[in-house]
Amino acid sequence: MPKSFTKKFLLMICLFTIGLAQAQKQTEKLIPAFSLNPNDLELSRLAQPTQYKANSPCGSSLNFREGRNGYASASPSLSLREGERGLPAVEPEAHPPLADFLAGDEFQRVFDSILDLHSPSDYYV
Amino acid sequence: MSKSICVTLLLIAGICFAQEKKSSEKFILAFELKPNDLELSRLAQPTQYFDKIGRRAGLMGYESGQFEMWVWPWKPLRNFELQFLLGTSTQPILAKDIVHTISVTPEVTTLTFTYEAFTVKEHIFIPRNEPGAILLLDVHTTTPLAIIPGFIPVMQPMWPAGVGGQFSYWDDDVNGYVISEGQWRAEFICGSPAGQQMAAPPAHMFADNPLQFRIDVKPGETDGKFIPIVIAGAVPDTSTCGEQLCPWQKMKFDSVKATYSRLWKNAEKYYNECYNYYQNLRNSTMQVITPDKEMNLAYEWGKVALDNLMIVNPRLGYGMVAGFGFSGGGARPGFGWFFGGDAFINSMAMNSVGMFQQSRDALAFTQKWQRQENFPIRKKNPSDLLYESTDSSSRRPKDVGKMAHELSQSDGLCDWWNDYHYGYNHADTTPWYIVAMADYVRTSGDVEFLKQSWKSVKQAYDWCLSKDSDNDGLMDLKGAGLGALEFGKLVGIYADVYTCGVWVQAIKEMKYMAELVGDSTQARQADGQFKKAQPQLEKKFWMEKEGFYSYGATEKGEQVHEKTPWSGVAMMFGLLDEERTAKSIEAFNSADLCTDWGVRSLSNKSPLFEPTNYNYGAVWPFISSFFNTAQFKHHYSLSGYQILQSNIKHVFDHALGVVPEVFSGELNEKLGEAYHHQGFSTTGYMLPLVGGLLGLKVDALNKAATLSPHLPSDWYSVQNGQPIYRLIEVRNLIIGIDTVQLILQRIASSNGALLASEGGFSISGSKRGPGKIRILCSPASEPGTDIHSLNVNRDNLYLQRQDKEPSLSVSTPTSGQDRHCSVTLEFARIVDAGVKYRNAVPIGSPLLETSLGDKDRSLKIVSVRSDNNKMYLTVEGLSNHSYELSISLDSAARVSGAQYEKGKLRIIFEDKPKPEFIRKEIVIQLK
Repeated sequence: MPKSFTKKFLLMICLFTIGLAQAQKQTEKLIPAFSLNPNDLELSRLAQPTQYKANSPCGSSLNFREGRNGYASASPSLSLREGERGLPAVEPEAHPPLADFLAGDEFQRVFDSILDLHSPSDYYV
Repeated sequence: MSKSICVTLLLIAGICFAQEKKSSEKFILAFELKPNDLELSRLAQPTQYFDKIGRRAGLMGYESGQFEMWVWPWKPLRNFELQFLLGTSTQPILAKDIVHTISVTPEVTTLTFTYEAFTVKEHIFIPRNEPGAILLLDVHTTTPLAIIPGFIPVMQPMWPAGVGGQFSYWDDDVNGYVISEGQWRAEFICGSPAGQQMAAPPAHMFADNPLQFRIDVKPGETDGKFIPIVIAGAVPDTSTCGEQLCPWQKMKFDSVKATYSRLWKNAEKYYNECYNYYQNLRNSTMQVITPDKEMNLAYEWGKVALDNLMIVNPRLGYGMVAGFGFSGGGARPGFGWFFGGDAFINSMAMNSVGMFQQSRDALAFTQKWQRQENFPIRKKNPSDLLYESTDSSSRRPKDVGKMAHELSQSDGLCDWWNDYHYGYNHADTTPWYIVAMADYVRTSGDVEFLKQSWKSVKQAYDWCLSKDSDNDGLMDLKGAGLGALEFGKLVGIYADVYTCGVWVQAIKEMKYMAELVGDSTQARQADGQFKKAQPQLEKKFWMEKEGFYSYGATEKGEQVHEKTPWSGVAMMFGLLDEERTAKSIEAFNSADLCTDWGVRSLSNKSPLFEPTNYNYGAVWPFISSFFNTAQFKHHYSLSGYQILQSNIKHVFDHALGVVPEVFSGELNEKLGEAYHHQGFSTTGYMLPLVGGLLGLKVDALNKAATLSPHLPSDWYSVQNGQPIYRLIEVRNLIIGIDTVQLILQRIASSNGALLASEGGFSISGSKRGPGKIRILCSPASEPGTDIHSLNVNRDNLYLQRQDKEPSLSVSTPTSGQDRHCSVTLEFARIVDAGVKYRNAVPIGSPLLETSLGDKDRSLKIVSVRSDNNKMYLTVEGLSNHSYELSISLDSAARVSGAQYEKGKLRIIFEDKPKPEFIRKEIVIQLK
């Protein structure tokens, strides 16, 4: 076996070993991800950076301001995700199926309220 | 002796009385803040942005309560914040550490600070037309409390100008710090009638430390009272300058002092003005109510965010800025200066909701800066070249008619037009002007404004025409300026589909406007130009192999093969071939462009893609506005609704009520460089909401409107536990001098199922105003809808003497994504009609699940087609994930590619070594 080949072979083995060690090291830094089990006791909200701070500027602890860490108040009512805020989706008067609705007084009442009509007969044949 | 004692006693009594009076004047009587159903509240996020904007001033800060103040164009101070001292303690409690909640209405923002011994509510608002801000503290304390407001004085104008010689001092007359500069061109006071000096600023310079003052409060002392804090300014009054530009001049100290006193003494009046202003904005423009609460809120907040872009600059006048943001140690308050392109794009959203006055004012402001031969870029020396060419035979003045891209508010304190090169560096601004003018005139009916502007419109058009070096009818970017992109590999191209699309629409609109003003020569020219240019869009940008329109092309006609949504502009205007448009939208509906938080500017499969690159991968609500509107216009309802929802979520997930400029292309989070309150990001959902989802278009001059909605099949409202089938209610739709109310309802199926396979719709309308109007109501139904039972419910059709019989028609678009059953109603006061048909397979909208920081994961609907009793649903989902989709099938239907059970399709995507989106086709064989 030529000497130069032996040298190259040894060099390659050497590099391979280093590479393998590096790769081994690389994979050991991380672990396979696993799922966290769902739990219906989960509480979540926007994080409050100074909540439950041990040492306040004056030396006393800040209050646990939510004050309701029981089962019933799983998340604060102010959460944007609650869908509690804002405009009502639609607040129409409950009405019967369309045919009845259109035939009945309800239809006229709805539009009277919109248009402040004086007399329906002014507007219908 | 007795005489001198009497005099002394009287003197002491006088002093005591004066002291008592002064003490009682340091607070004002508390008043009730009015309830507002637009209120947004949540736990405060101390590093999240908030702003409060008026016409002449604005403050921008964090939910911690720290903010900077602007009185256009000056920034008097930054880092305003509160601290608290309890009893004799010298250890400050920082407001940012104890901020608990934020509550925002259009008129006022309230921050609540809570601690064991006190609660302070800080109500912040900007008087509508005053150069200042008012803060009212509602304090309840159980121990003696010192409130310490403090700030860092800045006294600099907006970029790129700068001044020197600033100073500040405490003034006992006003109990506040005076801030100004050596020439007294603007003056400010920050203080409180209850304030006591805490700092002694050096003369003729600012200190390095915050200027603080102190407000002492004893328990019970402020019951029923507010502590006012005011930042007031004195800047020139534009109303005294007429058409001229107001010069910067020395202001009198009395002026700022008077404003300061006026603000705190009349705080309730200014609060009421703010409240009434926004109520009027809401009630005088179109209101939309849908079953989606978040959408209803976002719509109303969209009007507020757009209206707040209208500001008064003391020298330049009243116009629309592009947005707002925090400048910190810099001098750029977001994009808080005037941008032509942004104003034109935003004006279309304003027009769509009936904000015509704001739209007209914004357009009129841009006209002032349209380039002329020696204005505003001036010929300083006889040797200056202001011509297109050095060739003496071509003496055409350079760029006459070009619309300004941007104008800093500090013009006058610097020579913006002559010393900086940004003023006219965009090509697309000028054709946008023409498009915006036509959109305004068509929706408002204000032909008079068009007549006044006709010379300006023609100049703009002529400038665009002059930028066609190869005479193909399309504008080139070469020599014209920037188009869609502002930097990077794709910026040097010859023509981009965005600019060319806007230009071809401008040509079309030029013909429309020329006919309105009776300029038949111009109308003929535009007609010929459109016939020449429109086919070139296909030739230059269509890529058969890729199956979508290109972003741009070189001078030699080489096309850019990257997938971008920029052709959405031309698609939104309906300028491209229908079949190719459908192919392009289906290509763009893929997960490489569409994310759960908006549309990427570049496919994430492109080698140029970088998720946080402003132009090459980031998600832009602005680009979404065009593509999203195009999705609806070309009947891709399900994918369109997904993108619309994704943009609407941004109204609530960062600063409350406004939408940031740009987001990461890989994670649902705004870019660090993105400003929080960006006008065209609000337009990003307003335009597709009104023009797309509702399909609402007004033609005021013809007293007509089209309502062609593409609504989710599973929309309904609940009242008293029962589903209500009202889909949308449109109030105060302005059609010329008429106002209209429309109610669109779904006709319930006999079994009451929400995804009804048998159904129809009813449309009810009422109007105020003279004469008749015409409404074309054409809601989309699923592809394959049975047309045989289409009919007007005659038993319940109400007609007036002057009303016409409704006419019915059915259409199927080229894309095959849906069917439209249309009814045309012409009426004077009230109308109601019901149309019945049989749906094929109603499909519910897919769930959009995303929170800040999330990766893209929701199901993407690419297309839905129906053919020979088969329905083809193309979707994309993440590997190793399963999704559910509501669908109404009868028992005889067979499904492949998914499992069907109890009204749900369950779609499962196989596992892959790495998470990736996989495309899948589901075939439903109907009976």
